[in-house]
Amino acid sequence: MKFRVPLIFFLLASAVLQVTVVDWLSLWGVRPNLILVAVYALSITGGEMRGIMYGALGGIVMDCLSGGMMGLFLSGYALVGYLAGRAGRRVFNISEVANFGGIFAISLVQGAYSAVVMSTFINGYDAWAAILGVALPQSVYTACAGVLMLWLFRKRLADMVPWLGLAGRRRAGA
Amino acid sequence: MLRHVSNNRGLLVLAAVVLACFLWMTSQVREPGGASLLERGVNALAYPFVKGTDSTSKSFRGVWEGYFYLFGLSAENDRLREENGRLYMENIRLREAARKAGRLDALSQLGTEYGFRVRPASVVGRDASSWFKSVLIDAGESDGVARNMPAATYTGVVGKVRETFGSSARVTLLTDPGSAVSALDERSRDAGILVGDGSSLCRLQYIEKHADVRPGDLVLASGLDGLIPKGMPLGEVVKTNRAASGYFQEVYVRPTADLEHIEELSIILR
Repeated sequence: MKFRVPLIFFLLASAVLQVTVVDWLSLWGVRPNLILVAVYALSITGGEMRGIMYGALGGIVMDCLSGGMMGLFLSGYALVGYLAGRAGRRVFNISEVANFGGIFAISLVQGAYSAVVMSTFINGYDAWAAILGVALPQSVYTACAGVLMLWLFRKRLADMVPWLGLAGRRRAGA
Repeated sequence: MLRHVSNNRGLLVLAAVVLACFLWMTSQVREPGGASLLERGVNALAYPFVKGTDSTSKSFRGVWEGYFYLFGLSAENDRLREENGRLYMENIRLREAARKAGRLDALSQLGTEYGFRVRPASVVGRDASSWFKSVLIDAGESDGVARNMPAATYTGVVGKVRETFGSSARVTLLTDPGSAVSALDERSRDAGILVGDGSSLCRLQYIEKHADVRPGDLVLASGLDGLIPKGMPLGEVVKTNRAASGYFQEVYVRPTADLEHIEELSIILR
C-alpha cells in the first residue's frame, strides 16, 4: 500500500484553500470543510485502510492549522476515512446524490465526534448545542460545497480516482 | 441533477448566451443614449455602401473622413477607458492603504494609551475548522511575541497568543471554546471568568444570581490572571438568565472587538 503523490497534493491543496479562500465563504461563522471532502473522495475509493491513512493525514493537517487540541481531528478524520472506505466497498454507483449523502454523513459523524470529545475535555462545553449549531449546518454546507467541488474537478479526479463516478463512469461491482 | 445538466450542454450554452445577453442589455440600460462600440463599427462599415449609391466623389471622400474620424474616436475611447480603469484601481488601492494606515495608527495609540509596548500584526489566516476560533498572525518569536501574550485592537481585547512560530503565531480568540479570561462587570464590579463557547458570544461564568449584572454593561479584564492588563475592554453584556439551574446566572457577552472581521491586531509585549 503506498500513497500517490497527486492525491497527497490534492489533500494539501485543500488544506491551503481551507485556511485562506474558504474563510470568504463563511456564513455565520460556519465554513465548508474542503479537507473533509478530500478525505471522503480519497477514502471512498481506497478502502478502509487507505481511508484511515488518508483520514489521519487530513486530520493531522487540520490539527496543525487549527487552534484546537492536537489529535482531535486526526482521530475524527481517521474514523470517517474508515467509514467512507467501508461504505465505498458497498456502493455500486457513486452519483452526486450519493456523494451529497456520503459527505453529509461523514461530516455529521465527524462533527458529533468532535463535539463529544470537546465536551469531555472542555469544562461546560455543550456538545448537543455544538452538534445542532455547528456540526449540522457545517455538514449541509460541506456536502453542498463538496458535491460542487467534485463535480467541477470531475475530469481531473476521474483520472486520479478512476471509479469515483465523477466523469460519468460507473463502478462495475462491489 | 448536475449530471442531467452536464448531459444537456446545448441547453447550458444557450443559457450562458442568454445570460450574457441579459448582462449586456442591463449594461446598456444603465448607460442610456450612447451607441455601443459594436453599433459604431457596424454603422461605419455600412455607411460607405449606403452613401455610395447616390453621392458624388466628394461625399465618398467624406465617408472616408468620417470613417477615420470614428476610428480615431474609438482608439481615443479605448485609451480613456484604459486610463479610467487604471485610475479606478489606483483609487481603490489608495483608499484601502489609507484605511489600513488609520487602523495601524489606532493600534499604535493603544500602546500609548495604556503605556505598553505593542507589536502590530496582520491576520494572515484563520482557523481551518469551524470548531475553534483562532487566527494566524504575521509576527512570531523573531518579533518578541511569546505564548500567553494578550492580543487587542483599539476596540478591545481579541484573545491570547496560543503558540508561536519563527515569524508567525496563532492567537486564540475570546470566543474559542478553550478561551478563559478573568473579567469583571464595570458597573457592578462582579467578577467572573469570561469563556468562549465557539459561537460569536462568550459567557461570563460564576456570577451569582443576586448579582446586579444587566444587558449593556461593559465587561473589563480584571487583571487577576496576570495576563491581560486590568481595565482593558473585553465585551458587553447582551443577555442574562437568572432562571438557570444552580447558584449562578447565565451571562452572555458580545466581544467589543469585531472578531469575525479582524484584519490587524496588536500583541501587547509589556
